[in-house]
Amino acid sequence: MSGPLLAAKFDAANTHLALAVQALDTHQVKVQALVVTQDLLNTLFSLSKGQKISALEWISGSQLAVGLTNGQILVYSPAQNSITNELEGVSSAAITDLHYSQITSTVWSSDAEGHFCEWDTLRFALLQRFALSDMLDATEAVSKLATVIHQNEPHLLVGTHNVYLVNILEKSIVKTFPAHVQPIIALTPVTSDSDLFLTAAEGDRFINVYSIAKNATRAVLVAQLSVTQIALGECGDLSLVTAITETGTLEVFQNPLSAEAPPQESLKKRRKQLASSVRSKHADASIKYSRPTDEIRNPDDDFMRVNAVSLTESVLHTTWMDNATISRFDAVPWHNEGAFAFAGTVVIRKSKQEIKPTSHAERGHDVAAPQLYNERHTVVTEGSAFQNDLVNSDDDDDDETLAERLEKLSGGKKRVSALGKKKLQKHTAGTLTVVLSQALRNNDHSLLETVLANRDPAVVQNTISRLEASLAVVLLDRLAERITRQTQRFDQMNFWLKWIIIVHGGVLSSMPNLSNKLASLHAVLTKKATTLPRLLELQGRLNMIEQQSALKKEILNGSATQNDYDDADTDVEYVEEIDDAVEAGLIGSEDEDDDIDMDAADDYEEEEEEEEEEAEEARNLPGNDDEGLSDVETAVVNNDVYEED
Amino acid sequence: MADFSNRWTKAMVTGGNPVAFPGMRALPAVASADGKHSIVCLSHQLRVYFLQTRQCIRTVDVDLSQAVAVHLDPGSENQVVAFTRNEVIYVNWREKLENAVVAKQNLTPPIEDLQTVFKTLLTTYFAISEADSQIKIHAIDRETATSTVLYGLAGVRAYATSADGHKLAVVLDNGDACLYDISAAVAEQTCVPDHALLAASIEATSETWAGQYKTVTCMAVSNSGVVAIGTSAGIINMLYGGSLTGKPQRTLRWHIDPVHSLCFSADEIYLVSGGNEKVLVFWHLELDRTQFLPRLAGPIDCISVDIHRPDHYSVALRVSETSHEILTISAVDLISRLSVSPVRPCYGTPVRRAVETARKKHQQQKMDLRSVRHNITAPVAVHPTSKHLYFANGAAVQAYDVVRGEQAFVQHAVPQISTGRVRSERKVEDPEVSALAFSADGQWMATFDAMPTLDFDNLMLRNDVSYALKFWRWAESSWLLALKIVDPHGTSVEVGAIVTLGDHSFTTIDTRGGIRVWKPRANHVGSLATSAASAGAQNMVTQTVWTLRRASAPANTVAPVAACYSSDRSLLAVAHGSVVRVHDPELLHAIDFVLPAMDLPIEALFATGTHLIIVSLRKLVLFDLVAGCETGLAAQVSAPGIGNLVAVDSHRQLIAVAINQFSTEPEFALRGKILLLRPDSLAPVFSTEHSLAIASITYTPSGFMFVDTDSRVGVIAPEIRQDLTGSAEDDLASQMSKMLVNAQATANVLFARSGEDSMRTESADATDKWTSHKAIDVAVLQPIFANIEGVSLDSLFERVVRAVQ
Repeated sequence: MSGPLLAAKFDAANTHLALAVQALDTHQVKVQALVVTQDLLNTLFSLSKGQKISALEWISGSQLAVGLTNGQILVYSPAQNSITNELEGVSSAAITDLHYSQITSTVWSSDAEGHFCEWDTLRFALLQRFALSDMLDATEAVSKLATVIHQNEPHLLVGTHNVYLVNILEKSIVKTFPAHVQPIIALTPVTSDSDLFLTAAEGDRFINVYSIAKNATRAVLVAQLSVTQIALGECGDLSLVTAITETGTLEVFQNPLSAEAPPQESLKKRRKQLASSVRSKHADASIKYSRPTDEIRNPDDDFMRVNAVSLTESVLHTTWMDNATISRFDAVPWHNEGAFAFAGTVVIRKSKQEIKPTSHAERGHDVAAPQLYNERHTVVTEGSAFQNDLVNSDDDDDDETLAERLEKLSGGKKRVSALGKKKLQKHTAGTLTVVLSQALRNNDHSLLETVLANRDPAVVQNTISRLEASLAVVLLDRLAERITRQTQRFDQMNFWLKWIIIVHGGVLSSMPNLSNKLASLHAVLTKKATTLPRLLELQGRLNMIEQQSALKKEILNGSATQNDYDDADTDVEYVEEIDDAVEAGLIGSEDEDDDIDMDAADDYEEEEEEEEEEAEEARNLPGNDDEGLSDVETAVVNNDVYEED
Repeated sequence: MADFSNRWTKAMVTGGNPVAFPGMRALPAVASADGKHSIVCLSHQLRVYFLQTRQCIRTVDVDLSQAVAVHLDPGSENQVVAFTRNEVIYVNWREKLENAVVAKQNLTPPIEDLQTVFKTLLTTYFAISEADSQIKIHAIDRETATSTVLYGLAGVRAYATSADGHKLAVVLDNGDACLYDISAAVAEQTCVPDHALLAASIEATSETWAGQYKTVTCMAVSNSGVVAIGTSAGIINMLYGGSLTGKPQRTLRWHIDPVHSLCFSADEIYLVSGGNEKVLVFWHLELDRTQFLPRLAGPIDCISVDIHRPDHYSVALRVSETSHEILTISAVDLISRLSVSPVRPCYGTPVRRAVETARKKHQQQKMDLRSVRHNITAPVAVHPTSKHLYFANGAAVQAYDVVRGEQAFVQHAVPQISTGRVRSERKVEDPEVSALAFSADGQWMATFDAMPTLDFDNLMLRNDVSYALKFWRWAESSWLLALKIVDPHGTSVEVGAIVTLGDHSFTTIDTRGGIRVWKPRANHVGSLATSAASAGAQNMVTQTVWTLRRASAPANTVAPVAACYSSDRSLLAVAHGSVVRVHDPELLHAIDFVLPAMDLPIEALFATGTHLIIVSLRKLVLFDLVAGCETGLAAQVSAPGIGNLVAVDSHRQLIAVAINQFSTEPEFALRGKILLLRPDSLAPVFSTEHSLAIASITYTPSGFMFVDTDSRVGVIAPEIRQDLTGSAEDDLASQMSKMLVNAQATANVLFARSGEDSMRTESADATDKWTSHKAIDVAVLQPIFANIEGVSLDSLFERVVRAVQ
C-alpha cells in the first residue's frame, strides 16, 4: 500500500474492488466495478471525521464490512452508497481484522484486545464473543482471522505472530503453530485441502505453508522482498501463489502445495533439522506493470504498484492506480492448457487510459449555446486610422537601416547617462514612471490600467515628465485604443493625453513617420472633434430654453406684482432663516424654482403614460377582469401583442 | 452533348425545420425505449441521434410536414408512428430497410381538426381535435385506423392532458377551470362504448374552479391531478385537484410576459415553465424554491419530458419566426445533451406573409402573378475550406455543416442582450450583421455590423448608428475576434459590400462610393513597443492587425452597392445604384470604360472569365468585357433580392439562376425553379423545379447549394462524370447497360447488410464509374470521422459520399 491507499480488496466474485482511501483528514470507502461496460457502479463514501478504517471485508457480494479503529464495524452498501448497518462493538479497541466465513456464513471480527466476535450477517447481531486470553496465558494481539474445517467441525485460525487453531464450539485452542516473529498479515486456508494454510508476516520475506495434521511447516516460499499480500489460486492439479511485495511487484510461486517434501528421513533427525528439512522455494516468476516504453516520462511510469491481487481458477486479477486516484484493472490467465503462463520476469505494459468524457461543456460554456461575443482581447481601432503602405512598407519595422541603428546606439548611451543622472535626483513618491514604463514595455494591460486609473494632476504631470519620449508614443497609442473601445473613458484619459502632448510635444513633432504611428489617435480625436457642431446645436437649444424660462419668469413676476396690488392683505409669511439661506446660496433662488416647475410638468406627462401602462397591465391581471372590460377584447389585444414579437 | 442536361442532379441534403405541431402541444422529438436515442422529426426527415455522443447516427427521409403528432410505436420500439389529419404513418428508425415507411394507413373518417395524439396503447391511439372551441376525444384503432369520437366538450378555451393520459384539464370560455378523469375513456377498448354512459361517467369526475382564468395561454396537468394554468400576465395558477377539503390553489409569480409552456417533471416534484424571457424556470412545488436556466437560444415554446427519458427535459426554442431549435437538457446538471437546429437564414420577408398578401391581392384585383413583390431571399456565404454555410441572422452568425446536416455553431458577432426581451425592451433595436466575407484560405472572416444607439432616453444621438468592421481569426474550432474597427468608413457611413481578392485582403465598399482595402500586418502597437524598448524584444506580440491600406474618396450618392473582382483579379467592378464602374484594384482609380447602365438599382455583380454579370432588380445582363458588348444571355427577371438568387461557377463557366413564381394549382403557393445557363445563351443547360420557393443559391466546388423557404438545403451537383473522350453518342444498348449497372450499384449499397459488401461494390466500380479525379479537402473529410462512436456504417458512408461529391 502506498500513498493515500489504506486497503484494497476484491470481492469474492471478482467483479468489484473495494478501497479504503485517506482523503485529507477523512477516510473514504470506494467501490469500483472491474468492467465498467458491464456495471457502472463507482461509488465513493466519506466516513465522518474521526472514523479511521482499520479493516475491510466483503460480506457476500453486495455489502462491505468496514472495521474502524474505535471498535465499530460499519456495513456499507455500495448500491445505495450508504451505511446500512452499524455493529456496535462491545469494546472500543480497534478492529484488527474482519473475516467473512463461507463455512459459518458469519462475520468474525477481532480487536486489538484479543477479543473475537461473531456476527450474524442477516440481522447483524452479535452471536458470540470470547477472548484469546481466556484460552491462553499470555496476551497476544490478534492480527488475522480465518476459518477452516478441522475434523469436520468449523475451527477458527487465529493469527497473532503465531497461529492458533481454535475450536469455535468449545472455545479452546486445539493446536498452536509457532510461525513468525512479526504479526501475521496474511492467513489463507487452502480451499482444496483443508489441512493446509498459508501465512505471511509483516516485514517478512517468507510465506509459510502449514499442515494442520502434521502440526508443522510443509514448505517455505521465499520472496525477494517482504510480502504485503498473498493470493492463492487452484485449478485441478495446478496451484499458484502470488504475493505482492513491498515495492508493488508480483511474485509467482508455482505449485507450492502439490510437491512433496524432500525424501523422508527419520523423525528424530527431521525434528532436529527442521529448518533445513523444510522445502524452501523461490519465486518462479515475477510480474511487473509498466507503461509502454514510449510513454515513460518519469520513474512512476516505469513501474506501477499493484495494489491488490486475486486469483480465480483461471485468471489473475490485479489492480493499480492511474493518476493516484483511478483504479485500473487487469485480468491475465495464469495457466494455459496445463502449463503455467508466467516464467521469469514478465513486464506487462499498459498505456495510460485516456479519460475522455463526452464533453457537454466547452471551457465552462454549454456546447449547444451560441458562442457569445467577446472583445476583451481585441484590438480596437478607428476606421480612419490610415496606414499607407506606399509611404511606409511593412518590413521597415523589422529591418532597420544602419543609420537608424547607429542612431539608436548613441541614443541608448544617452539614455544610460540620462538614467544615471536621474538616479542622482531625488525620487519623489508622486510618480508612476517606473510602473508605467514597465507596463508599456511588457505590454501589460492590467498594469497600465492601474496606472491610468490615477487622476491626481500632480502625479500625472510628474509621471509624464519623467517618461521616456519613445514610450510616450506607445502610451499615446494605447490611450487611443482605450478611448476607441470605451468612449466614456475619455474624461479619464484626457489628463494623460494633455500632459503627454505638453511634455513630449517637441520630441513627438520631430519624429519621422509620426502620422502613421499616431494614426489611430488622430482618428479618435478627429471623431471627437466632429461632435462639436452637435454640441453647439445643443448649446443653442439650451440657450433658447434659458431665455424662454427667463421670459416666463418675467411674465410671472409681472402678474405676481399685479396680484399683490389686487388683494393687499395676502398672507406673506416671512421666515427669516429661509431668507438668510437664500442669500447664502444654500437654497435655490426663484428662477431655479421655475425650472423645477417645468420639469414637474414633464414628469406629470410621463406619469400619465405610466399610469396608462399600469392600467393596461392591470387589465391583464385576472383579478381585475370584472371591472367592465370585455375579456375577449383583452384576449385579442394580448394575442396581437404576442404575435408581433 | 445530347445527354448534357442529365449530368446534373438535384438532391436535398437537410431535412428542413423541426415540425411545429399545432399549438406546440408536443415536441417533434421522441426518445427511444431505452432512452439512449432521440428521434427528431424534421419536416422532410427523421433524424436519429445517439444522446451520449450527440451524433446523428441515422437519417430517414420521409415527408412529415403535415404531421401533428409523433409517438414511439407501442407495438414495436423500432418504429415511430406519425399522425397527420388523414393518415397514420409507421416509420422504422432503427434498421436500414428498403423503404423506411413501413405502413401508411388512411384515417377513416379523417379527423379534420386533429390537434394532438396524447396517448398510445397497443390497440388504440387517443387523439384530441379542436374546432370552434369544441374539443373531442377520438379513439383510433391501430389495426384499421378507424376513428371514433369518445367524448366531446364545448366552449373550451384551453386544455391539457396528463402524461399518462388519464386526466384532462380545460379552461372554459366563461373562465372556469375544470378537471376531468378520463381514464374510463382512454382504456383498451373491447367493445364500442356507450357514449352517453361514458360522458356521464366522465362528467361525474369533474371538478370545477370558478372562473378567473380567461387569460390562459397554456396549461398542464399532472398525473395526480394538479393543474397549472399559465396566463398572459405571466402568473401561473396552481389548482390542486382530488382534494376533499376545499379547492386549494396558489399562484407562482416570476414571468412578466405570457407563459408559453408548462410541464410537470416525471416525478411531479417540479413544474417547468418558459416564455419570452428565454429562461427555463423550475418551480419546486414542495419546497417553494425556484431555479432558473437563463440564456437559452430563443423564447421557449414547448417543454416536455419523455416517459422513456424522465431525467431529461426537452424544449423547443423559437429561433426564428417559423423555425425551432430542439434542445435536450439533462435534469441533473442542466447542461445540454443534444441540440437540433435548422438552417436559420435571414429572410427579407417571411414567405408565408408574402404569399398571403399576394393571394389577397390576387383575389381582389387579379394581380399580375408573374413577379414576386416581396424580397423572400436570404444571403448565404460558404466558408472556403470547411464548406460550412454561414448565415448572418441578427446579431449572430450561424455556421451550418452541410455534410453532417447539422448546425456547426452559432457565433454572436455583436454584443447583444442575451436574455429574452419583455415588454418595453422590445423597442430596443437589435444590432445586425449585414455583410460577411471570408479570406481565400478560410483563416479570416470579416463581418460588418450596425448597432443602433439604444433609444432609452430621448437624446439627440438617438438616430446615430455605430458601425463596426470586425476581423475574425479561425482558431481551432471557433472564431476569435482579432480586430474591431469602429466606423470603418467614417461616421455614419454604411458598408454595402465586402469582397475579397484571392490573397489576404478584404475590400469594403460603402454606400457612398468609397472603397477601402484592408490588409493584415503584425500588430503595430506591439512592434513599436519592441523597437522602442530593445530590452523587451521577447515580448513580441504576434497578434495580427488589419489596417487600412487604400482608400478612395466617397462620392455623395447613397445607393445599394455591389462589387466583384474579375476572375484574373485585375479589375474591381463596383456598382452604385444603377451605374457600374470599373476600378483598378491597386490604386482604386476608376477606369474609363463604358458599361451599360441599368434602369434600376443593381443588386449583384459576378465575374466569370471575361464576362461580367450584372443583376439588377429587373434585368440579368451578361457583358463581355473583351468584346465590349452584351452577350446573348439577357433576361428580364423581376424579384427583389435577386442578388441572392444568382450564383456563378467560374470554373465550369455556368450561371445558376433561381426563379420563384406563383402557382395557383393545386393551391396558391410560391414555387421555385433553378436554371443553369451558359454565358452565351438563354437555353438552360439544366433546369429543375422545386416545390418551394428558393431563398438563396450559392456556388461551392461540389455544386450549387440552395436554401429554400422552409430552411432546407439542397445541392445541384454534377452527376457522375463520364470520360468525355469516350463515345459521345451512346446507343440505346449501352445506355441501358449503364443504367443497369447504376441501378445495381444503388441496390447493392442499399441492401448491403455488411459494410464490407458495400465497400467492395464501391471499389469495384470505382475504376470505371467514379472516374473523375478530384482533390478532396482534408478539412472537409476530417470532421466526418471525428467522434463516430455509435454511428451506423451506412450513414457514415452516406456522409463520406456527400463530402466527396
